[in-house]
Amino acid sequence: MKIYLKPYRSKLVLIAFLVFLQALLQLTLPTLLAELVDVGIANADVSYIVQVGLWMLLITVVTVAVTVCSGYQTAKLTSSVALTIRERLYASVQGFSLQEYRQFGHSTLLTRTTNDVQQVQTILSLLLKTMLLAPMMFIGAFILSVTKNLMLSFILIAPLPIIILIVIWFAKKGGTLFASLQKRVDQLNLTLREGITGIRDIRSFNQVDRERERFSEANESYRNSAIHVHQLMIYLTPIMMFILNFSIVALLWFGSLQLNTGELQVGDLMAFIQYAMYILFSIMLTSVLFVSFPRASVSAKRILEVLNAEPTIKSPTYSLTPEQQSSLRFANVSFQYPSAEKSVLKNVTCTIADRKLTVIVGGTGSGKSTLLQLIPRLLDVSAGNIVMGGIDLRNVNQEALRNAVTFSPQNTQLFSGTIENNLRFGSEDVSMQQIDRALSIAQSESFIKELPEGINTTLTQNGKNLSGGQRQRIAIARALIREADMYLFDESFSAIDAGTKRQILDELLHELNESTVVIATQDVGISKRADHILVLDEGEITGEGTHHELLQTSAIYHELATTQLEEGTS
Amino acid sequence: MKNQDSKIQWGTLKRLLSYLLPYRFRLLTVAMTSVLSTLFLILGPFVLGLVITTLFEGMVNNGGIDFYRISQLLLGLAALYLFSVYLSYIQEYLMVGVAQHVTYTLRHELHHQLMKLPIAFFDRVSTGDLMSRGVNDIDKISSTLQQTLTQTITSLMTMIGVVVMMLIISPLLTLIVCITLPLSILITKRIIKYSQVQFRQQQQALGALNGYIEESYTNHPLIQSYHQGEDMKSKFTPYNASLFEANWRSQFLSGLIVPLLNLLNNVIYVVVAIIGGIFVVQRTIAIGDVQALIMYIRIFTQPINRVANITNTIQATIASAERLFQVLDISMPTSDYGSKVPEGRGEISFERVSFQYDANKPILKDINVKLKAGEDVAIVGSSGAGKTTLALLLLRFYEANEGSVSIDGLDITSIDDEVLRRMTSIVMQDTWLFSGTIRENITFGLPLATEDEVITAAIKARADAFIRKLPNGYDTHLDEQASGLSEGEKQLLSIARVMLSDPRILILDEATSNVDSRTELQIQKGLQQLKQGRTTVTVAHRLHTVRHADRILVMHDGQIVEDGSHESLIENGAYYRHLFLKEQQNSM
Repeated sequence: MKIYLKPYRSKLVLIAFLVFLQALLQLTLPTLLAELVDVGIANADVSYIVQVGLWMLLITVVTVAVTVCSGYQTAKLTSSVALTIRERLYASVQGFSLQEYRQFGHSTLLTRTTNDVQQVQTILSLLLKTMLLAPMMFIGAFILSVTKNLMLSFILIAPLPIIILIVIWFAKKGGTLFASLQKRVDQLNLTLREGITGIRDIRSFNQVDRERERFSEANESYRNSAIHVHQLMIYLTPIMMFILNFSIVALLWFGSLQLNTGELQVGDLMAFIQYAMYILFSIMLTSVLFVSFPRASVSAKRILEVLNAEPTIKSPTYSLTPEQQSSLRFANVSFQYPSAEKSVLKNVTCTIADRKLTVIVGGTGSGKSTLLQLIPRLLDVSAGNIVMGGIDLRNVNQEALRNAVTFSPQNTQLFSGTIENNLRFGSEDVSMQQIDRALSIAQSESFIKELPEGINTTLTQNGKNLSGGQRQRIAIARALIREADMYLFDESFSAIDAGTKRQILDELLHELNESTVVIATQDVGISKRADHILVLDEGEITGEGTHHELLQTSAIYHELATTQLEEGTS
Repeated sequence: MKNQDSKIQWGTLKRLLSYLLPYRFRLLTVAMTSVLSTLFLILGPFVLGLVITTLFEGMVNNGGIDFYRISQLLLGLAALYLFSVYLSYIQEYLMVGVAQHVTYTLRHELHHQLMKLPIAFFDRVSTGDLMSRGVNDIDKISSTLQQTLTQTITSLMTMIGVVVMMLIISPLLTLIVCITLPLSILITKRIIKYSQVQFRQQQQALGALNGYIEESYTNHPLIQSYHQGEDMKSKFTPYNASLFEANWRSQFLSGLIVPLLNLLNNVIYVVVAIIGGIFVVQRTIAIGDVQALIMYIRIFTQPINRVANITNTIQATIASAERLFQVLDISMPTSDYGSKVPEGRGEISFERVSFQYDANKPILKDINVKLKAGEDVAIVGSSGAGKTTLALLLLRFYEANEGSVSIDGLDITSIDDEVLRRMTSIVMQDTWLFSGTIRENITFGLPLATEDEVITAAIKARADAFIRKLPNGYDTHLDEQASGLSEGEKQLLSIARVMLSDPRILILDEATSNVDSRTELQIQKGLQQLKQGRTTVTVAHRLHTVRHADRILVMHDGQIVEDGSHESLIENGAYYRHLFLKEQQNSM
């Protein structure tokens, strides 16, 4: 995490200096007080007392000014570090391919970007405020006490090794305990989230009680673990207090022995007690830090995991813009998730012709979606290559590629905001006419018109206030608005009723006459219109050709067609 | 307006405190031990002062130091410290338990409420926001409870105790010290006024940022394929920046309180040192008393600082508690269930049923239809016609605004909710699987199912084959997003789940829309088996999938416009024929 402080090196030095000054100034107060007692009071010199007092006052004011300055610098610095970490995290996630994205899961990415960063920021500001102040106070108080009396100084630091051992023990123990607590937090959050997202199924399966039990279990396990951790950690303060208070008692005893022999003056002893208080204070601060450290280090680890995740897909070192962008050649393409046992795609070799409609049909889990996702490089091939207009996709500039290819994912993804904003996603400057045209092709004009505010209607999270078919139609319009050479639709018509679907396809294919269109579907009604059909089965291409050819040559396609047509006609 | 605000806040605080009621005895112990431990802590400097005075007098009087007295005092001091430390441990120990138990209860209540709220609530609220209330807000309350309560008691006790002790030592000097109090309050109030604004802004900025991130992470595949990563990043910047602004401001402002109070305190400290010094010279006060006073001033600072911090924390905690109570207080009209048990035939009747979300946008208009027990009924119609809503009324996911829905002649509002849900099962378009094994996911509705039953259900749902291909078969663990399974495979699992739970009434809400036709046909065979002797309501947008249904209800614009078998509708139903021909053309 240190590298995030690097750009602020000069500021850190400034803060360290200010804190140093603050410690130094604060420490002069007891010294002056000792003077006041031993010289002023002992000699009954009122003007001396006032003089020293005024010095003390001045130092106080300066100390506060310094503290405010360092507080300002610290607040700014820690906030900027948090800002930078959030920005990097967000950028890092934006660079993720689907592979890393799935590995983490979006809910943990969210907590890592916000909560964990906050934890780190808290500890950082604690670190700057106390980690610097505490040792300086400690060292300063110790040096000053040594100049006053060597023997008593040793009494002051005698318990230090014990304290260090105790703190180390607590930090270690706390580390493991907090790590396990964090796991329980994750489990608790997961259960809560599942309870919310699965509420419909939980209700309909009459499992509310069981879900409650499941949550109670997670809740209880968290509570017990939290009690366990905290009840251990609260030992720390009393133990510290005990040790430190006893060293003050010891200080007084040995101090009075020395007073008796005249080696020490009363004012010095008073100053010593003040130093002891400062030392006590600094050790307490450090122990607080140590208690919160394990928690923050867990967060830091979680952040680093995201930042250090190497995106499997790298932007090409040299970028090319293919002249002919819309024909594709798959040569021996295989794809396998790193942890998976079997490949999703095996040795796929095929051609997607320029300005033609290619339909990929195949059963559930046949690899259709994966095949489409390889084209805009949401995923990268594990073996083989995909060539676009003579250039391997991995050598094509990513922006150029994704501008040339418009991909509509299987799950319709919409943003909260107006319908218009959703349509303008990825192509902000399009004219209203273009939008209207796309909406009319997607057969969405009429239902949008019926909405209370038309195209300015605000969609809720993921467009939940629309029906599945309506969402898909908006997604289709959004894809059309983006002018590309190649359009990929992944089951983008599945929730639309037959009549509307037919109208959309008619107009869409007419509109995209000059573009390459690839549709992954199970709908023979769509594949019939295709210039070329690829039949995928368990990751392999088992047949290709036109509808009529495949009816003869592919058993799978034949079966698919007959089941659908038989149902449609008889 | 402001007054009103603070009134509401007091109400929230009171309500939050009411959760502490069951622990009142523990809290009483905590209060007593904190009183005692503070008392001991306060006596400390006093004894220390006595030691110093004895030493000083011994030096000044040249009579030598009274070591016997010193040793006695020191032993007393040691005992005081020991007790105080022990007591403060006890109170912390108890408070950890209380805080964790209270937050446990809050979380429990939230979850309980969520399980109870009508589905319509979840249609409108974002998961991220609910999660934030359940996690961040409760967390805030937890840490406040754990720290603030003992701190408040000890701080108040310390302040009172210190003032008493100082009065005993020197009323005049105490008066000077006590000037600190109103000044401190003034300073704190001033700063809080500004910092509170920044805190609120910070929470708002955080909320906005959270929302933005949640959405962009959810839509990651789309953003990637539209190559909008850079654009999303640049839109992220202002959210991030406004959080940064509010963040450092609130941090800096709230951080001002302590140094400013320190300033005040150190000034008093110096003044006491000067005046005390002069008094010692004039012999109106003992040197040890000045020492004690100085220590008391140090001790006096801590509770003031703490109280200042506590007011800050409590403000934030109340805001969090409010957000939590908002959810707990939502009362939506589903909560009443009857206790009647239908005979279990599975007859369904809709009488004059109307439903709407918004007053001006009716979804269902005056639906009148009766379904016989064991009938296989399909609902078809264009998207947005109200098909799904009609089916979901049966599960009371939504409540009819007018009219009544009944099963076996009983109005569903009079039926026991568990009975109602045991009778009816649904397979939805969006599958929900939870993290756990495949087996746990299948046995979701029937946790005690035997291995044979599970496998039979999976075979019927055509899920057995792909499950066996997974690395650990039925024991394969699914993660949060069930990655590794395709949409269709997930759907097959949820169908197996329904197979197992064996309901009287089956609702299929476009259940097979994510499954390919081949798989769909296989499932249909299984479903056909399952439909035997059950009332089945199938919501479909592909007409061919429901051709064999006993009866088809054709919906248009919130009304049932046609009703009959496929054959009779083809002959007599103009709208159905129109839909059917459109689909035929499409697949030709």
